[in-house]
Amino acid sequence: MQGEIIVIAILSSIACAIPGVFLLLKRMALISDAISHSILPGIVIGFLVKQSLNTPYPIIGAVLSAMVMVVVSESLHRSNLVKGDTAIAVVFPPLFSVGVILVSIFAKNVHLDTDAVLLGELAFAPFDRMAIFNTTLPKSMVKMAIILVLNLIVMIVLFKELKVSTFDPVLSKSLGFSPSFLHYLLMFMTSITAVGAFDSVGAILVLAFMITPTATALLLTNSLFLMVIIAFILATGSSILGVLFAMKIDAGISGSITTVMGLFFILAYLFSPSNGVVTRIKNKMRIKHEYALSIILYHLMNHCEADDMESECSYGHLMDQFSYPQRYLKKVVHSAVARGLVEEHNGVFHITEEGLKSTSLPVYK
Amino acid sequence: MSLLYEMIFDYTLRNVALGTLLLGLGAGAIGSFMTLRGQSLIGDAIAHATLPGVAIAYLLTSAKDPSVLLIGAAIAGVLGIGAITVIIRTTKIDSDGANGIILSIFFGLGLLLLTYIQKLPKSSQAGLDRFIFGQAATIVAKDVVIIAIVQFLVLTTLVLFFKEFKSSTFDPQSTTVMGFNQKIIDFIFAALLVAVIVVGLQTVGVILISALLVAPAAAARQWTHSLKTMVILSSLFSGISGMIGSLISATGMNLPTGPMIVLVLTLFIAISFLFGSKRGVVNKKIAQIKRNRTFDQNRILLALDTLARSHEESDLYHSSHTIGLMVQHNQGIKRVLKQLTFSGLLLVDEESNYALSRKGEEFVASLKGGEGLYAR
Repeated sequence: MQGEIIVIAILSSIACAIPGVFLLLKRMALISDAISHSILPGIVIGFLVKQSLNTPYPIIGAVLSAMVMVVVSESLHRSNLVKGDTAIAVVFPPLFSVGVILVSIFAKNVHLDTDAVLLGELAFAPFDRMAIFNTTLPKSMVKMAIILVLNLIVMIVLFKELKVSTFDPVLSKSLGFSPSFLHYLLMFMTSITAVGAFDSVGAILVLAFMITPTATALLLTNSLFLMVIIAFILATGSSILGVLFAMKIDAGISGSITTVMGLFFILAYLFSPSNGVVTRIKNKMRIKHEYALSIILYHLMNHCEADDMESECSYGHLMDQFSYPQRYLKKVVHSAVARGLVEEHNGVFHITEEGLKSTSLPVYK
Repeated sequence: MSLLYEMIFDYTLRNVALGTLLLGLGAGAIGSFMTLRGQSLIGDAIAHATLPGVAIAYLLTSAKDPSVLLIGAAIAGVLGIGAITVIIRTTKIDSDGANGIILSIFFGLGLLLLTYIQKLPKSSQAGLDRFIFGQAATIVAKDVVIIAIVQFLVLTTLVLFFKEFKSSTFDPQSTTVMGFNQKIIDFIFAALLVAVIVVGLQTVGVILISALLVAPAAAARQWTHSLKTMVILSSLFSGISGMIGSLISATGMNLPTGPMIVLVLTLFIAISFLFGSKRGVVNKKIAQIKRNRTFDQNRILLALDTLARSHEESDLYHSSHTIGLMVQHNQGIKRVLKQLTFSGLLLVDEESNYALSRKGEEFVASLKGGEGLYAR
């Protein structure tokens, strides 16, 4: 049973990552938040039709209400009444509110409460099964598998088009792919995925599933293809660890998966080989070191074999000349000696032939 | 009437009404700046980010005292806003992405902790649920005092630094040039934002409190082009709808407060979008129709003037068909001609042919900017 929960979590998180990649790169990450909030009234109304989440009505209702959000906020934006992000921020809260109010009105007699809305019910997913081939599978597993396959097909078939329209909408239009068609396709895909993930993840954390693994992947690579692959791997890993952790401390599964995704993000932020914090600090230190080394070499070069060499090239003078802390200067000089750029004779530093070469400037005598 | 009576004399309702009114005043004011700075969604992110702070504060102190929980929320909110700033500044992730990531990570952690707390043996009813959708009915006199103090501080700061906020909102570069430290202004702004959000958590809840900031500002923007007026209007909209929404929620069928307030706010927005005096759709449409009519009228008058000049007698009458050909469209031309005749600019004969009247000629002359310029 635990295995089934993990499989559902993996299917949901990978399915969410596919639209997530393109939303994040198109700088529309919060559209997914808005969509996942605004599907709620549609789901609730669809649910009330047959008192069940396993009919097509909730899906139809949800997609309709998501599309209402997208179209209304875009037309508000276009009418210049409000700016783009304000338009989104104005449209989705009322939709979500209607959903919450409907839930709390009907909470007494239906099986759909605010906890389910917020957290999803991944833990109960294996109890709701359907017969397929010779065995039975959880319904939400089948549902997420279908959505994942659909998303994969769209992404593989339209990879080139999505890529171009994401990075260069103008080029995409001149090549003959309609950016607005692709835009609405993406919105549609996001809505369908959000609806599917709704019962396992809950309305709000769909956003986390869509953009956290993809943002983590973005920190790790510059290639779109690799980004997709890394996002899939991270989604899978977070799902497994998240479910296991939630089982261990007996807490909400989707919150736990999100937390693991967050940890991966922090790790990538700190240790990404291309531009993580640690890498950047290391680079900064290396550059500082190289700079200190080179100005010391120039200094030694200027004074080599001059009359004041004894005084100018002593350790104490270097200290006065370059106001580096003593330990740092020592470290730099040591590394210069170790690399054979500088030699020490009786407390006076001489630049070597090797050192002169490394300054790569003509020597004036 | 009885509601008004209860509002004044019923202990709970008085607290609810006063608390949400005060809350709205500050939220609307700071919300105006937030939307104008193009950060409408940051309030949402901060609000969601406060949840783990509440949960951790509860886990550490196991206190039900709201003020302890709110301090936790404030710390988490500040951390959240800091993290967003750092991510935007140091990675290639844009502000939308950074908001989304922080929102979801913090909120996910918050939900994890909340579900964990709910399963703990003794704390089955920690009452932390109310932080998610808000429960105005839980406001007591002490909360009202806290809200009042915080809002007073926020509004005072806004008034004191109005000039700096205004300039940094519309023109950050020149603010820096004038010698104000943009970072300090941003920090004060963020602190105010967190303060307003945190005191509103109990009432409106983490999920929908950002609407209390953004929606009234969006509504107020439709009525004015002046920042000062916008801030005041937004603050009033927010306060009034906060009060109405929470009263409905507290008196009615135990409906969650946050969503109720949002629905009332949406009503304000819808009215403002439609009828707002500066940008509202209806007003714009009316102005457009007026502009079109003036344009049509002027073209007809000019056409008649040209016709008159190209013929020897200046008071020659022309059919509406000829005039239509001159101005290159026929739709509704007869109506416009009648309007012009009615206002005395045109003369009409028995066969419905038109010519410029004396008054009409003078009007054409003024349109052309004086006789001299175009005279033959």
